[in-house]
Amino acid sequence: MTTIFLLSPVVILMVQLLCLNSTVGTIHLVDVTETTSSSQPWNGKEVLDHTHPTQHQKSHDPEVLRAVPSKTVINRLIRRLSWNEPASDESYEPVHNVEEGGRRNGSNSTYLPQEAQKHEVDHENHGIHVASWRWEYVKTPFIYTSFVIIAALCKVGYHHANFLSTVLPESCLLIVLGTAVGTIIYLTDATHPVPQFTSRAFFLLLLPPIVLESAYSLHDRAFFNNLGTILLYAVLGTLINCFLIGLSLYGLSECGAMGDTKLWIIECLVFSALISAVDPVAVLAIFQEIGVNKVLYFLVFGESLLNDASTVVLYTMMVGLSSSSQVTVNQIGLGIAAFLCVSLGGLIIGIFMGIVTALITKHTQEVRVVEPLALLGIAYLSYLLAEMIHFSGIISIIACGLVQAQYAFFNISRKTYTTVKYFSKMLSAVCDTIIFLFLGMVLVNDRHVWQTGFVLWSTCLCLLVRFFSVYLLTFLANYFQRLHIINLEEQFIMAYGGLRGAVAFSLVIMLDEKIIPNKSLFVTATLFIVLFTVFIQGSTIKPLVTLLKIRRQGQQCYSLFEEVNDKVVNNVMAGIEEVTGHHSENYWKQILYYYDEKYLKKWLQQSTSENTLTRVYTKMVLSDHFAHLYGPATAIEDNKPLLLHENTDDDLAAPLDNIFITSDEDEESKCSPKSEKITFKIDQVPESTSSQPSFSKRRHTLSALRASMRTSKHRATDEERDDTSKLLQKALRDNPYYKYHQKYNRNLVGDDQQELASHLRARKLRARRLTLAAALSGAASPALSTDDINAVQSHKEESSDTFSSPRCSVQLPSSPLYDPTSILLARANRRRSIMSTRYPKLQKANTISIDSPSDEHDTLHQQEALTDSLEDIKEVESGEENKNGNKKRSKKKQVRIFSETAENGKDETCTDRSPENIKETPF
Amino acid sequence: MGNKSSLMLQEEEIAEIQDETGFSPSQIERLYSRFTSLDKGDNGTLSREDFLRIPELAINPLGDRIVHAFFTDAHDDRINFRQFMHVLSRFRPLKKNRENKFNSREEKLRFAFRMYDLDDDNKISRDELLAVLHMMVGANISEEQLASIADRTIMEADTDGDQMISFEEFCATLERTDVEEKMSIRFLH
Repeated sequence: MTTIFLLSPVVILMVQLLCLNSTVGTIHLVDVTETTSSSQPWNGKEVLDHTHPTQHQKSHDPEVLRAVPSKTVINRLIRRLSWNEPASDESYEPVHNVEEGGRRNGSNSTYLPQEAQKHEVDHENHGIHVASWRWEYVKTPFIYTSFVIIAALCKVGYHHANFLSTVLPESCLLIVLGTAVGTIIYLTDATHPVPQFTSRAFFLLLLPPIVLESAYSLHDRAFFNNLGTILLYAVLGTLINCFLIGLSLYGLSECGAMGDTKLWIIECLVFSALISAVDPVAVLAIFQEIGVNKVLYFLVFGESLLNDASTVVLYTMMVGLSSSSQVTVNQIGLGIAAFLCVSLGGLIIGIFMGIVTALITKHTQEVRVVEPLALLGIAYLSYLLAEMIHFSGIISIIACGLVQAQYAFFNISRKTYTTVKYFSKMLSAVCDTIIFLFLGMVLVNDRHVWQTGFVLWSTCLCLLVRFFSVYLLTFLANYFQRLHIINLEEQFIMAYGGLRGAVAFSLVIMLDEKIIPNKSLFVTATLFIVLFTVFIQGSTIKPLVTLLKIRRQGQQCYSLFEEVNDKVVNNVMAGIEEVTGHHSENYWKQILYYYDEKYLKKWLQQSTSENTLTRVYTKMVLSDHFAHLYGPATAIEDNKPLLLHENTDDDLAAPLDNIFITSDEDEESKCSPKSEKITFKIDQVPESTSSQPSFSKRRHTLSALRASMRTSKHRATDEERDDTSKLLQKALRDNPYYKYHQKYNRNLVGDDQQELASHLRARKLRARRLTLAAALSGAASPALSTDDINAVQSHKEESSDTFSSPRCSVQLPSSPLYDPTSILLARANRRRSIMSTRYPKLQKANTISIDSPSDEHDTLHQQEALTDSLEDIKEVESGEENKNGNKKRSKKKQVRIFSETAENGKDETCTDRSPENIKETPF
Repeated sequence: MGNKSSLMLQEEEIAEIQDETGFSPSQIERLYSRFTSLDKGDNGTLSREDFLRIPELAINPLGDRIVHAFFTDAHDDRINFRQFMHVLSRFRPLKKNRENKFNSREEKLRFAFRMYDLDDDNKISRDELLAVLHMMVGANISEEQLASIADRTIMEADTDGDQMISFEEFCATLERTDVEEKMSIRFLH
């Protein structure tokens, strides 16, 4: 199985290449036919048959033969012959062949453009196609798409190959695969149709998604807390690296350590400038896999992202110097100015575009579809804009992503958030894969200049200088600034994790051979260093992390109290700093936070946007909710009664059926505008409704219940208890929530509860009623007979035990799970009696409300005012609504656009009606 | 004690404070000059008003609580320099070999706990938590949400079921957070 996955990309590529080669073959044939047979329309047929044997069988039929406009196909072929002229290339990716330029001469374009023009006219009178082969028409997108698919398959293959994924990092495997592909291309000599690695494609298409995705992940306190240190590494570290490596390489070549190769000092500096850049792609690929603690991760990763500006500036400065003959102080001054301009300019553009995104998303409640576009598109635009003015695109897109994560993410809907997360994640994963595949592919060519001395010395220097600079700078940082001391082991990992990658490689192939005569040597050396760092360091870093006992990233666990306390502590620390009179980071953080809250959020965020505290809260409630939900639901689905009451299932089934019947399309319109006004109450405390017992009272009932539960526990026979506990354990084990969350996988996006919701909608609908009943125990308990209570309690005890098992992520100690069905029954009975005796009028109101949907909510409200239990249902529903993150709108147009929303709406309408259904069933 | 209104700090006093709190003499002197500059009445002690005169502390949502925390050990409504230093020494970074009784993890946590414990009964009740939340969060969160968050938070931390968070429960809940790091500041040398 695994091998199939691993081999499949290669096989696909082989097939493709065969296809391509046959096309190349056609070209010659076309040459012949066109010159001889412009007057004979049938000649083209042969060409066609010859070219594509698969078509042969069809073409036996004379009708089909006539129908096939052979000329059209040929004309297309002819037009496509000018493939290697980029201007006429219709490729959607502006890839230009830089490196393989010499090779392409092999292709044979013998046609003049005029001739092609002439045939274009013929192309107009085509007949009817029954079947035709239009390879050339789809060629370019086809190749690119299949290339991307190959990349995806590689990823899948890697994750299925357990033996490989424990030993090799993903990037290594991709490089190996790339090399295999490269070899095939090299041997079959089919270079030109296959996409090539070019620095332009890299910087404009492949890099931005990766950086954007990482910018979203940079929005973390750990990053901002360590920003100073990260900047120190990114700027000073890169400078130290560049000059130390460059100067020592020059010294070594002067000493004759590199044989007879003589290097010019500027040449050395150009090389060292491009090789000193720690590559974000390589670092990300490996550090995400090993999962080190956040601080370390952000130190290395943040450095690799932010050093872009200094690298690019150094690189352009050195290249600029190499074209002029002498170095003046002026130029150095200009270089520093350029650095500031490049980085700050990028920053400003990024922040500006981020603010633009926030302002756009502030007004998109009605048009949610554009939200992902606004976020992703504007981020990319900020990259392009910065690149256009020669600022650092990377810094710009990072700044943009950070501002988006700070403001715009709170304006967008939950679904948009997931979309953006998934989409950026997908793009970056694919780009990542493609980059490594490309790196493997470019390895195989015959233009390498191997110079052992230079290659080995530069590799050694890279390592040594990296270690030196990291230790030096960490010492400085620890001494001056940091509270969290970076220990020696962490420093080692930081230095060792300085992987080089595609950035260095793209920079080196951008070099001009006229200015830098040793370009080929540099290319080879860069490739070697990239491979060395990715393979040797990349695959040994994981064991080293374990060996050095580096603190790993713990499982992210949400706790409201931690969130609250964090805010408190931040305030306290700022206060203490003010008392001591020495303003440092806490103080500035507080000031920033203050102005952020006071002004920026007001301008940039919707007034309804959620607070972080609320988000954590929602997330927790939701996870609780699921845990509670699927326990009983799965048990009932197995047709095993949770309680050994006989009438349970039948009675439950009746109202459920009704719900499903009534939930047809028309119901959507019943989500009347009223529902918008429902305030966001999540699992709300019944305090606000006067008819309910106050919160503490209810608590009291609960604890009283629990107390009596303990006493009655003995009454339940052992047998019964075993049965139920087993059932519940099974239910919990099979619960889809845990199935989805069992193991951490970086290829999944964090908030998958939405996906879950769509998976399990039907079940949720049923289960919600049960949980609802469970939530209302306090209100319902008086109506239960004592026998009922006892029976319930015995099971309650069991279930609460099961829930306190470690598998349950968040436990809710005060509201244990107990048998919902009996309570539901009791409640239904009670409501029936209340309804029939006290409010006979309401029945009429009910029937009317079905006809006039807009009134329904009003009537519902009235009813709720009358019966406390209904009030409760209402509350839980509105909580539900909040969780779905969608303020429903009843406009039909919107419902149509957002099929998802519509489904939600339906879902909710069902529950809206559920109280009614219960009432109606007996009559 | 520091009751003398002289601006100079006695040598032996510095040594004593250094011994107790672990601050270096230069840090003590620096903080002493801060102390005297806060001491508008020039009487060697600080009152609540002196603290609240610090402009940034006035906008700090927990400003009152922080000031209050300085006065927990004080018998009257004024604290002297030594008490001032005792409170501040809680925020010294925790180093392995230089631990003392003030800046341990527990002391830091206790200070944080006091922020919530408005009535000084060593328990955080729901109302207290709600009040603290009120101080901190902005306008974009509704009353009901805040109430349910407070309930939920109490529920989460409350292990003995008394609807209050005791100090032990408080510590247990924050077990995983690195309070040592978060509740430390660098005092200038």
